[in-house]
Amino acid sequence: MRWSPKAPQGLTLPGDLASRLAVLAVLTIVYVAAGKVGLGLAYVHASASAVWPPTGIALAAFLLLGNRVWPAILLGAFLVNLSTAGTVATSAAIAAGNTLEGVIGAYLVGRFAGGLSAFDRAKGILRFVLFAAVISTSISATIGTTTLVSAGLAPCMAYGKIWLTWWLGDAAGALLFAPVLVLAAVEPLPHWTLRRVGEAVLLFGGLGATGVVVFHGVVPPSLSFLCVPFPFWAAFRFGRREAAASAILLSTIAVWGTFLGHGPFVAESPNTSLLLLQVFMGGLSVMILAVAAVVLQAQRVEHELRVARDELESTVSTRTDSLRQAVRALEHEVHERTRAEHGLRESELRMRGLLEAAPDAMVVADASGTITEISAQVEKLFGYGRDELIGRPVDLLVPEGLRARHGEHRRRFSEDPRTRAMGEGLELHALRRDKSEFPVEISLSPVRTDEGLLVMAAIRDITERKRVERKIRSLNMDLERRVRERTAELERSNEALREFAYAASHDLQEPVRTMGNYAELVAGRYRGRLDADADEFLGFIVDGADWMHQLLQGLLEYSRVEMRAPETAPTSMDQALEQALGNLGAAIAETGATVTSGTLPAVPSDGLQMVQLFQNLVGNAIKFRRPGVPPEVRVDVTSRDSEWVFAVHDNGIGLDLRHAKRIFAIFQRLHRRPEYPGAGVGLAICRKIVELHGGRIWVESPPEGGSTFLFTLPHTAQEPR
Amino acid sequence: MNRSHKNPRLVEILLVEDSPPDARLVEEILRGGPVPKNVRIAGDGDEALSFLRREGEFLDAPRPSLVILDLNLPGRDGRDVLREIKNDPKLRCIPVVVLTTSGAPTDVHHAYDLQANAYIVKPVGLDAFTEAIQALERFWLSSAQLPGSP
Repeated sequence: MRWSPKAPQGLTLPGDLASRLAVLAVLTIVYVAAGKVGLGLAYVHASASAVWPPTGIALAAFLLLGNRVWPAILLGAFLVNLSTAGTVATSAAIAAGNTLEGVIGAYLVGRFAGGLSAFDRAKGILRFVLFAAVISTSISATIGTTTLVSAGLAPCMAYGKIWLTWWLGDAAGALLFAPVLVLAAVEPLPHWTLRRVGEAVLLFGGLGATGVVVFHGVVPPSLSFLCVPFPFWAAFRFGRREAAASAILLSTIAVWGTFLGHGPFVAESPNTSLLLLQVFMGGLSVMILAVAAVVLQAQRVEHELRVARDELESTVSTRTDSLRQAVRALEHEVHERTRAEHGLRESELRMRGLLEAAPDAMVVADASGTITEISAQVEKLFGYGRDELIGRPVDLLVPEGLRARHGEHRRRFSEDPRTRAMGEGLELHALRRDKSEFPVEISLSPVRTDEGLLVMAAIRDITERKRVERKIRSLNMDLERRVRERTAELERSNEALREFAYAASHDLQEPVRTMGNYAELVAGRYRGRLDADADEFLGFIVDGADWMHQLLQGLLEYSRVEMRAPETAPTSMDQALEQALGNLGAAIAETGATVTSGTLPAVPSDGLQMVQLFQNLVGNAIKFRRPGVPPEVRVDVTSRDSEWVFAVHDNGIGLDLRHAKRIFAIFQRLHRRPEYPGAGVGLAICRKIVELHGGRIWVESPPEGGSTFLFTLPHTAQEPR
Repeated sequence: MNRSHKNPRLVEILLVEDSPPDARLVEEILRGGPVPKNVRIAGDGDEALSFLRREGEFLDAPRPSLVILDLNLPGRDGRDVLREIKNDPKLRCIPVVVLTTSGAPTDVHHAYDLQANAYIVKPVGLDAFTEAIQALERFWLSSAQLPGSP
């Protein structure tokens, strides 16, 4: 059974008049019908019934709908009485009494017994009994009996008996019917399951059967208690409404059985039986209502407990929910934080990855010089474990003597943070865990983070490089020393060679001349005194000596060019040519040669050697002239890249280019001596001079004949070789 | 090699020449010349200086009126001899004619720098050589007046 925790609400009459009148008409009809039933139970007087249900109906109507229902009650009561016995007047009076009884009863119950809640607890029930069944009913009984007696409808001497019967009938009616009606209206309709319907059938069936057995004389009256358990059953298992209904049912059976002359209440007089019956009905009703109320209270308490428990459970559940939400929120936050940390870790890992990817040892430090991150290379390079460095000052890695300078480096970097090498141009050293130092190269890069400026230092161990550098330096020095030594050796050897060539050519001339002179002396002094062969042979000796003398002279000349370091000064090549031509004056005049030239530049060179150069080349051009053709020599110059190209053309006999290279070597000749005398040193000297000036010399054979000797001289002076 | 001719009218000439064939040739050409002379030959620089300074075996050597000096000598060479002569107050008035195979300009310049009085490159060929020596005699023994012997 579920009980509404709210206070019971009364019913309200419909708002519109027609409905209201309809309700009132129904009420009147019900009242009249109930009255007719009640009058059927009247023993003492037709108007004084043993049980008067209309009292309960009226009281219930007033309690539920209010005093406005009075016309229906008054009319119903009037009609019932009028149709029973008496006049209009008496019926009206009795009706008024009936109505008044209801109004006052309802007022008193509402005022003192808790109104519609009167049946909730034992105290209310007792007050209900007092006001509705005892006090208010006396009004109707008094008015009704008085009316009957006054109107002569009943004898005066029967006043007391009639009043008591009337009063008890009304009381029984009030006690039996008002509660069941009020509760039926107030209490919510129960939820009838098949089980409950079965139980109700069993309850009321058992009650009916037991009542019939008890009150129709089937069993001895002493066994009348047999019907007691059923109302209790109703009270405990169903409720007040059902309990009240069971009381009505049992009362009805009792009244019926007693009327038929059976059951425990059958007495000597019908009036005694009626009184016993009425007391039984009243007592039964009160008892059952009280029990039902107690049960209700217990149920209410239980309900309240359950509600409280439910509330508690709900609170717990709500708290649990909120806790669960909090837990979920926490979990979410933890998750988010984990994700964030994960992200952070990832970015850290990325950074680590980058650091680890670098070939150098990477150290990240914050602005205060505290190490925040390192790469594995650092552990390898410095011999520290990762945990020994993170959070420690970066100075740990700097040799003690260099720490002040290192602080200065860090300060300068934070003033102007950009990627650069640390301490450019300085020798940097780092300190290992075992206190050993090693040379390093450090490149610094700023890393801007939320936590401020970080410095990423890429540290490279340059021990090996330094070692290699030292090695290279020492090798270079060694090489330079050896080159110097070798150069000096070569110079000495060259010097020796030059001296040898000079001295040899010089000293060799003496015996050669002696041989030549004495051969000539013999040939002259003893001509004709020896035979022809001797004269010829002496001639060979003289020629040989002469030739030898020329060779030595050429060698001497050649070695003189080499022995003399050329003096480099701006030299007018025009003047040099002019002087050369002057030196060749005799040959030019003798052969009728013409020598022409364009304007020649000034070239940084040794003037004397330039004269000799032109002299040899032009001299050659004249010497190797075509027989009978006056030599024509042309000297030209062009500028090409960073050098002058001089060309000496002639219209001479030309030469076979197969020998073009050979002619620049010393003592190399292409022609027989008697025709073209000479030691074969002229062009060798030319080549020597040109090469000493950083130029080249070669010969070409132009298609128009003759030959062209070309040589180059650089625009700017060369380091003398 | 001393050929002492005690004729005081003879012109005393010192020929410093390490090559006997050359010395012989010069001596022959000079002897064939018109001026009577006494040619003394020193084979090296030391001997030449000892002779000039009348040292050792040359105590009574005559003071020559002309020195014909080859530059290339064994030991102390002609340039040293020339320097010694020109640095010696008693000797420096003696004309020194360099007669050498070297026509190198530096040698020529150097010889004059050391106060050589003439520089003659030995010509190639007997005729040219003979002509050069005869020219020398003509100039130094005929045309030129030599400082007299003390």
